[in-house]
Amino acid sequence: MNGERNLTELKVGDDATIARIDSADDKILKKLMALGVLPGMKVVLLQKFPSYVIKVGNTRIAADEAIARSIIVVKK
Amino acid sequence: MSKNELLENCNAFKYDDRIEKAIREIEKNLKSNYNISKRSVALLLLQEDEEIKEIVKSRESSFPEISEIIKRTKMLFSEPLYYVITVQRQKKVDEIVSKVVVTRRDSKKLISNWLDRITVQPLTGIPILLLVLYFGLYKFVGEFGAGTLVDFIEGNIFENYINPWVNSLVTVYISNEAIRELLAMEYGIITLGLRYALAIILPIVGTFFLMFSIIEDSGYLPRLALLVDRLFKSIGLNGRAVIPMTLGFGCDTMATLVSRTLETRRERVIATLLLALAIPCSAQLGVIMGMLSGKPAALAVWALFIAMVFVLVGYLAAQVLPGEKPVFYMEIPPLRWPRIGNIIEKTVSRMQWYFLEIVPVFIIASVLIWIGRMTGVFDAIIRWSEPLMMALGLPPETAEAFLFGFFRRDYGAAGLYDLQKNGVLNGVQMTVASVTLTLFVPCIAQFSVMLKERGLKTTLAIVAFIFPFAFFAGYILNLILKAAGVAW
Repeated sequence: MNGERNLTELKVGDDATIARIDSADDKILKKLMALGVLPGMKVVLLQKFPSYVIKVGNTRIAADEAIARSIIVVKK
Repeated sequence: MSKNELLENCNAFKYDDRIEKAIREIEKNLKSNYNISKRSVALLLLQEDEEIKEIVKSRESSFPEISEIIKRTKMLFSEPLYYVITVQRQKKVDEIVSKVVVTRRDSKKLISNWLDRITVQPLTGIPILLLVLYFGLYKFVGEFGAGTLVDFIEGNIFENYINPWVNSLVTVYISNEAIRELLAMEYGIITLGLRYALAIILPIVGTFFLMFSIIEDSGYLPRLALLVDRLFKSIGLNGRAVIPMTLGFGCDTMATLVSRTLETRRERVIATLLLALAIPCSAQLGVIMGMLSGKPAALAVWALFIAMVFVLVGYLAAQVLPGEKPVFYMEIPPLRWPRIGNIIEKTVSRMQWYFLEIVPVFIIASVLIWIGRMTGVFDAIIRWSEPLMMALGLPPETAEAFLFGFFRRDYGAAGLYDLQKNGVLNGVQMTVASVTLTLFVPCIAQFSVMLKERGLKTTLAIVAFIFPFAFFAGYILNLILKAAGVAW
């Protein structure tokens, strides 16, 4: 789809909207959903190193590269 | 919008037609009473909730039809149903929230935002991490708990009052030499087992749990986890494992128990192995630091060598052990002032657990030491292991320290401490002995928790690796130090 990219392709400080979660792992999908990482939510990338830190709604979440790659976003 | 209008809109919420159709069909097949609405049961079934599935399966004769409906509905979507349902629900939630919630920027939050930021960015986060470890662990637990408090309770209360009193009591009232030794004297249940529990364990573990609860309650631990995640990935763990690993510096036994919170069996096995091998507990750390602090170079070699073993063995274990790669994700709560009530509650409940679970093991250890000494088994083991000590360039007396190290981790180190004071060990020998002893088998309490948590096979495999490895590492270090011509 147009404009879709994964979280690792954003720059620090960018905000975007989550389009979908692209994970083959059921457990990851469920955990991310429980943390509120869901399509339609706004996401801000706060930092990339040593781990990814994102802000979704009022929640800040740390994640590794594999998880960040599975979060597909659309940049505004 | 008025409250009533809002409620009406909420109640009007419907999932998309395909889901609603499935819900209606499942509802028709639910005959028994579930305490929650049939709609909820149907939704849980569609989301593959295992618990509710088992209940429905046992109560409804029409379960095959229900399964068929769920299967058909699944085919209609490319994503799993729990995902579809959550997304639709979230959309409604967002809609409601956007109508009623106003966000404004609060200037009071500036400081906390700043703190939140500097604790997670590597440039500032890592120095902060080191400061937390230095003041929290080294200064408070190491110097105050393991130093000042232990000196007072053990050196003053036990050595001056309780032990002499108990010893004189048994000398007067118990004529049997063996029973006297069991209860009192150098290795007795009261004079060693209980003294150990109250005079060494209580202050060290107490200060550690107190500090750990403060750090935990402030919301700092997830930050620690995200800072070390990359490093931990290389040893087959994820950032979350930082919690049991840090706990290990307090008590490896408790840490081994806490490692059950790790998600995969592979991670639990690696964590257990590393805790048993390369994380010295606070009691052991205290004695080793005391012993080597006069020789900073020796202390540095010890720390570096142990850290290298930790990374190397972790790395190799991650390569060898089968299983899925660890993933890391964690919510980062805002930093908060710890609440006194929470801290006291957590510290007290952890110490309670500690005393109920671990102290009996130390009493048993006293009894085992007593049996070993009475039957001469210890003397035999010490004699057999003397050649091993020689191979490491160590005097034969060190064998005893190693043997007792199994019963109390720090007792082995304390044995070395005595040898050093008597001038039996030189600097190189002290370093080699400290490294070998740190790596060498876990204490008896940790061993029993390993058996309980990881099972016999895994535990034996871990011990079978650690035992020769510890001596091999000591042997290599001795060769290196000799070749480098070190003379401490």
